[in-house]
Amino acid sequence: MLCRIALAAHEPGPESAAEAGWLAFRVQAAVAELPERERLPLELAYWGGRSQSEIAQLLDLPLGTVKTRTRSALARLAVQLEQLR
Amino acid sequence: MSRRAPDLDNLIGGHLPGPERDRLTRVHEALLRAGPRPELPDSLARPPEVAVRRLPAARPARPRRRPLLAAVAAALAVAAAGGAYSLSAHTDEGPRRAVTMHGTAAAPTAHATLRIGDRDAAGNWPLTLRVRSLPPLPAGSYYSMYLTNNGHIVARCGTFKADPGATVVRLNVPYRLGEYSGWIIRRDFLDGRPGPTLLRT
Repeated sequence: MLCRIALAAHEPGPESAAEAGWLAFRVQAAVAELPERERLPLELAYWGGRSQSEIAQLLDLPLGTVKTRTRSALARLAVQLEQLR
Repeated sequence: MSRRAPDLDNLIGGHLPGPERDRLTRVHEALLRAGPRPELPDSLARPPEVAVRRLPAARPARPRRRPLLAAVAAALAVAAAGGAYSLSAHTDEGPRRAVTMHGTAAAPTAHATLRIGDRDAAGNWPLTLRVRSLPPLPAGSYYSMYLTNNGHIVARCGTFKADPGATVVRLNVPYRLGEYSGWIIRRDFLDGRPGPTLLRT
């Protein structure tokens, strides 16, 4: 019984679920606004489950360029998401 | 291929100063939590007209502020997620210039990028599809790419075959691309039978 109560206390409520959905939307929208050359490697890495080597092959880019563009995309997203706070 | 979570150090390479690394770590974690934009399953792609008609008439009730607040926030989030989906597929000028396609359960290692060229004067869009690791074709079958709207196939963009490794295919479509919401690649059979969907946006 105590365990059940403890578990229930840690389950996310509807407010936090809604907030998580909203934050996810903001992240997805920010990704959609990235320049294509940065968006493609980022999407493939995070949402396509691809390794950096696979992305380099798919996009026909040097591995270093893939890393540079991914880093640039993350930095650009950081600026966009910080502006939303 | 395993659908592993990307490692930040591997993604960006090299070492970053502390504050910059912290910023990128926050974005990294936000991306992992957000996941890809949602895609509606076929069962939800059509408006629930019947379900709406069966709803009982609303009756006045005492205000319950917290559930109402949560419901409004959830509705905003759902509406916003739908907006994100549309935004990601279109711009004011029509579709965006490139999309990534991800393998389905029927082809978990497959992936592709689709680049959309400039529309010609007659209204044709050139497409360059770079696809990799599609499963081998059984005899009497081929790959087809389709445009979808709300999860439903609405227009065929062309057919092709592919090597086990990487293949670049050039297609051309005359459709108004801004009116569609996604793309899929499916295996089809010469006798007209549809096969499984292998890639989707």
